[in-house]
Amino acid sequence: MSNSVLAVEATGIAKSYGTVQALKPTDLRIEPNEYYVLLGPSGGGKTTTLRLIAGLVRPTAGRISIYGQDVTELAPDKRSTSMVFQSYALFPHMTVEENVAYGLTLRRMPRDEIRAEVSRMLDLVGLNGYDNRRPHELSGGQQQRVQLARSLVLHSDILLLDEPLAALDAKLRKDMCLELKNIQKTVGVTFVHVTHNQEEAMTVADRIGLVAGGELVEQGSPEAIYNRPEKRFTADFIGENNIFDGTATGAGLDIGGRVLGLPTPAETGREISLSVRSEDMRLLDGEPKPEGWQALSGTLIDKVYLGLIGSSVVRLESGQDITVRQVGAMSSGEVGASVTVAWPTEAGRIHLS
Amino acid sequence: MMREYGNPWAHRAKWLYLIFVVVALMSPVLHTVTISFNEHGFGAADYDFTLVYYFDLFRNEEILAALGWTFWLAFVVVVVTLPMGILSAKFYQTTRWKVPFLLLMLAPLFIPADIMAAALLVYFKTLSRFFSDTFGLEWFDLSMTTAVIGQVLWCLPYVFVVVLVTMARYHAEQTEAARICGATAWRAFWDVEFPQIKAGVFSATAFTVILSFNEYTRTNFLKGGFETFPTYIVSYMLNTGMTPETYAMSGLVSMTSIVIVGAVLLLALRKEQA
Ligand SMILES: Nc1ncnc2c1ncn2[C@@H]1O[C@H](COP(=O)(O)OP(=O)(O)OP(=O)(O)O)[C@@H](O)[C@H]1O
Ligand SMILES: [Mg+2]
Repeated sequence: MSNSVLAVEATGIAKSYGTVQALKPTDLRIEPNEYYVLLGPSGGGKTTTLRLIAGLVRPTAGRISIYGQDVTELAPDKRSTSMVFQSYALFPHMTVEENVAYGLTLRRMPRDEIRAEVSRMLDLVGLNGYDNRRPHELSGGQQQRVQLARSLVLHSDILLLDEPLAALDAKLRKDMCLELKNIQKTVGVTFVHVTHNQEEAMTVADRIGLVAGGELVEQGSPEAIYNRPEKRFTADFIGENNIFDGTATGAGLDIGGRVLGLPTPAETGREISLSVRSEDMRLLDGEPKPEGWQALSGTLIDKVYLGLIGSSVVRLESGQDITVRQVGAMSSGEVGASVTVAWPTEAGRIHLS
Repeated sequence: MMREYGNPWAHRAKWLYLIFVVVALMSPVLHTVTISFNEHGFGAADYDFTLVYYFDLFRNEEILAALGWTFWLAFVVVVVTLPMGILSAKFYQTTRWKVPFLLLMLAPLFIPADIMAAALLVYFKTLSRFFSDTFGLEWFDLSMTTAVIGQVLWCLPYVFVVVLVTMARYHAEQTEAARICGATAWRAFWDVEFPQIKAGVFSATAFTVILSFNEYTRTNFLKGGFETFPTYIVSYMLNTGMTPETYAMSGLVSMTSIVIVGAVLLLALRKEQA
């Protein structure tokens, strides 16, 4: 894979609107047939990145190549990309069939070929028989499928999706996620999908790029991003992690009076962070701290039972709140009781930045 | 929706008001039209219906010529103003200087017709002298061209506003989507945006036709070598006073305007219900 040509290769692309830096100089490399997800908080620069790839905005710096061809100077209609917008992007004066056929009509493809191709695509997205409806006669989910069909029918090299599922309810979103993933496997096209929904990202992605503050903070497989985040920001954004900031003392982390054991030693005197997933933590019900564990005492301030898991919030003496999630069992302690939270030392993850 | 719990009298009052406005607006016009169909003319005790004055109109060469010029002028003004209006509305959406641009576009509405007309007249006289002295050209001599310029200045703000209002309802993502489907900027406008602002463009056209058709002051100052229907009526009235023919001419102008407005309203209503 490494020596094959990249589907998208952006070097140092940046976009500023006046004094607002929507995207700082960023490198992005997306492999052919990869399902790449841009995930991040609102205003982070995800849409900007996507629109730069599509050619809807011109970068203030940097170059973009698609399958080895430099497209930086090309208008969107000259690029081999297609896009699914968040909303309002279907042509309301055209039927579903005409919407999907639009790109092919522009290519002057023969009519019967267009019809065959369109109905094949509507089949693929599960909208057979909706050909003659107008967009306003469709539900939000159906409209997004029409957009998907309209994009897929072009057989572009890259399909860009900007929050395609944001308007859908949780159940429909989940179904559509799986469908998107399936379709991507079926058609074998590179997908770049923007979302701020973590679950959506984890469901569909081969690789996730975390974008925040106009920067590509970190990227990796969903599993790696979740279990082995490199940056403190990632640990904070993905999953439910408890983070301790402090100064390294070699084998430990000084968090202001208390020293916590680190999984691996860190350079003494350096400001670092230690994160522990809430599901790796436990409340000790009076039992002694196991060998090789770290423990901190505090007060139980909240207890929520969520079905599969129980979630407890403990306020430490330092004032920091710690979330502990345990499958099945709930702590027997009452709210207000003194408790001890503990975690295996090696469950901790060190973040140098 | 809320109507069901609303005060029924408030609703009826609205209708009464509407009817009052229409009556106040239309009765003088209807009065004139009624007179134009009376064989005995204005102030007569008897009323005998006749179309003879209308037939007279259509036998009068001068009037036919004036009508011809009026329609030709309206046509040219529409052809010039519409693209300008659409372009300015597009420009308005992208410019960062929205308020100054808007004021500039609407400025012709704030200048009284006779002042604008006189100013243009003086301006064109100067230009005309300059072009004939320097290049021996007859540019800006009073003519169709000067009348068109005067009327375009008058109609452009209306076209701009009407088109802008319909454009505001359009979602720009659709243009982007069309571009990504492979359409050039022009194709995207023509295939996707234009069909959706068509109603506005259509109303703007009707508006321009009526404005141009009924315009007197600017046209009278700036025309050269022809009369339009309104200028003809006024000069006729000044020369011969109100005759049955004048009533017929007024009737004709009013009915043309009413028919155009009625057609636009009907089309708009049909569109609303569809
Ligand atoms: N046309 C524009 N003019 C000025 N600033 C802009 C423009 N478009 C985006 N920005 C700014 O650039 C930054 C990044 O915007 P972007 O739309 O890429 O964020 P995003 O990650 O897609 O956010 P969201 O999840 O809310 O869609 C934001 O601070 C935004 O205000
Ligand atoms: Mg966005």
